[in-house]
Amino acid sequence: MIKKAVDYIGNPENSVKLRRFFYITLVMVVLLDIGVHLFHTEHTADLPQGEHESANLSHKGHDAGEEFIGEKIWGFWAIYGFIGCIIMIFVCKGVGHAWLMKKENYYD
Amino acid sequence: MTNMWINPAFLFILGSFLIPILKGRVKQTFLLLVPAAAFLDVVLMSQGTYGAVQFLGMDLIFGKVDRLSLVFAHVFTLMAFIGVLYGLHVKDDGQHVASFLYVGSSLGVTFAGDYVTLFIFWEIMAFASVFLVWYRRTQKAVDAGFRYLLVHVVGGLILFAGILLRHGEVGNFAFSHISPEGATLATFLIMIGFCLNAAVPPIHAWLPDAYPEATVTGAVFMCAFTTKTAVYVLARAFAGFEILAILGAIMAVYGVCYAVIENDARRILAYHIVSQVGYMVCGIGIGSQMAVNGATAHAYAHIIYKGLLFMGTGAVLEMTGRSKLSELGGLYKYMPLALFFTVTGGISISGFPLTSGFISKSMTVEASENYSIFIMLMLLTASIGTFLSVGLKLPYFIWFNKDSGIKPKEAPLNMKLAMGIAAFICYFLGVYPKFLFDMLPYPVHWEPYTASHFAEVMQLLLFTGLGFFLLLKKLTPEPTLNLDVDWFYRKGAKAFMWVANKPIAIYEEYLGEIYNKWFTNFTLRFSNFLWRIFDVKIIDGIVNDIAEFWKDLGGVARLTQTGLVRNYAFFMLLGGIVLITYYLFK
Repeated sequence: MIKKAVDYIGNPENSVKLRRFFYITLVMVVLLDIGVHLFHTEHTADLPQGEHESANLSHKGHDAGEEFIGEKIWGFWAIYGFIGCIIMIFVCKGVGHAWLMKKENYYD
Repeated sequence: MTNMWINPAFLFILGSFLIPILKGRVKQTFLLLVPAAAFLDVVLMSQGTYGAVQFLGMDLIFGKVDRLSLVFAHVFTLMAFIGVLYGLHVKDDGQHVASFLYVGSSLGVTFAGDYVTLFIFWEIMAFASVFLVWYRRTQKAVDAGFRYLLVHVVGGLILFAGILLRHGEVGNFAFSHISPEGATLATFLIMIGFCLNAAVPPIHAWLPDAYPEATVTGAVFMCAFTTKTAVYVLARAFAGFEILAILGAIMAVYGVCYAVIENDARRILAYHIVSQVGYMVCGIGIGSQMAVNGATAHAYAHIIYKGLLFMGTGAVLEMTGRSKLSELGGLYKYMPLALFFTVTGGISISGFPLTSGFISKSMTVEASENYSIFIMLMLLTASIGTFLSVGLKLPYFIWFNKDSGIKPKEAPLNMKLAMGIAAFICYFLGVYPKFLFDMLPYPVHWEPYTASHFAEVMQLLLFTGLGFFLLLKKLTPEPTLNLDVDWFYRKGAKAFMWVANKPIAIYEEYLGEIYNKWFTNFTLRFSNFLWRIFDVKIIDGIVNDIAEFWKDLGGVARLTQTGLVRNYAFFMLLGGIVLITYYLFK
């Protein structure tokens, strides 16, 4: 079964179908997020207060209950994921080519 | 202390001595029985303090059993079983012995109640694990192993200094939680020692340097134990230290950034250990019950899925002899099972719903949201990088993309079984998180499967996927070597050798010149003077006179030496007669 599934995914003939499936999934998760924003009111601050108590009562900068701005925006994490991914690729590859990437026998 | 306590560490350490004696099926059975017995031992163990020994006036505790040590021991013994099964076909006894000592000493650290016991097992760990690198028997592995050992010896010395200083301050070796307010130099030395093993930048480079050079099975063991025992000791001693929260978040991003540009599959995974351990270190630094729970849960899940990833890429390395993405590709037709297992590890590490990463990683992220939004965003950025490199890039360039022309077979049965068990645990924990949550050090009042959490994670990951496919060409792996902070000691050692060879050599030459010019010249002149006055006139005078005497004497004696046998025979006969006459008439 695994082999069949893998062969299906690997077969170039199916790439259009797979891509279409992927795009539909993308739209669906954004729709789900919008749905969550419209119909759901659950939030971490509603959890019992003890949950956020420090085990050692020591840390500073604790601002429990403050909601992150991104959680109010529809599809925020989709944008964050997409832009984050692109920036990461460009920055890492850029710094890599400019500085970090050397020939494989660099240390020899 | 009424019930018996068996230290699982000793099962492994004593067991390792029997490995070279046993043969064939008996040995394989024994190899599997020891971790199985140790796992049962841990499952049946009840909390308490065991194995207290008085030694040289010190109180050594070999068995501090509480919820924290139990959950780590649980996953250590479980992973040991999976790892042994994975390497069951290995004929090299040395590898089995090294891995047993390594696992045993990790368990020794886990149950240690004092710093002396901890330190001893800590050092055995370093020395046992380096053999898992050396047994690869390549020049690269030997070199990387030496670097690994040197770094760990330095880390051990720092830890030891901290332990001794701490003993001077508090008067005992007890290994327990240290409050951030009471932190001294000793505290930070111990923390640095622990952080070195947790691969916290900038003292992390030993990990991506050594792990990819280890043997196929060795890497499976190494990825589980060294960093996670460090997480355990940090969780016990340093929960709530803000510096760890910050360093952890930096680690999480640092590791994924290197993974983006890395070419070697196992080095990508090694950098992702740095990143994933970052989540744990961050959770420990936050220090709340939820964060420590999250760190512990993530360590548990991580050991299994990272082991699975190293097993999947190890299977490819075992069957093809290659681990560089630029030399692989198109394996999906030949190793579909290895692909399935690797992707299972890949989606677990990325934290997809229904996998172990989803329930463990998000607990730490959730805890970080209440601590600092900035740290939470760093952890989520690391999630993007994780899915990008391990979930997508690694399987895509090994199993799909171009056809590399190699047609390997699937890995042997024992390897497939081991990967199957690990994959099962990844899904099992994702579907039934209560199993893990019930083992955590603090009670869990948190539900991972909520609609908003599900939507958040799916958006983050799937849109990362979109970015990946759009920039696929840009991500093509390049056969390069990437500079990291190991540059300082790798080039540093070269610089040291250069200083020894060049400036010191030149200096020596210069010094030689001065020596020749002044010292030699002076001694020559002085000895010349001595020769002319003292030697010739006095010493030579005496010597010459004595020589003259012996020459004259020789002139006389020469006359007796005729060289004729007849003469010698005559004198011998004469001497003989004289002697006999003397004895007869005395």
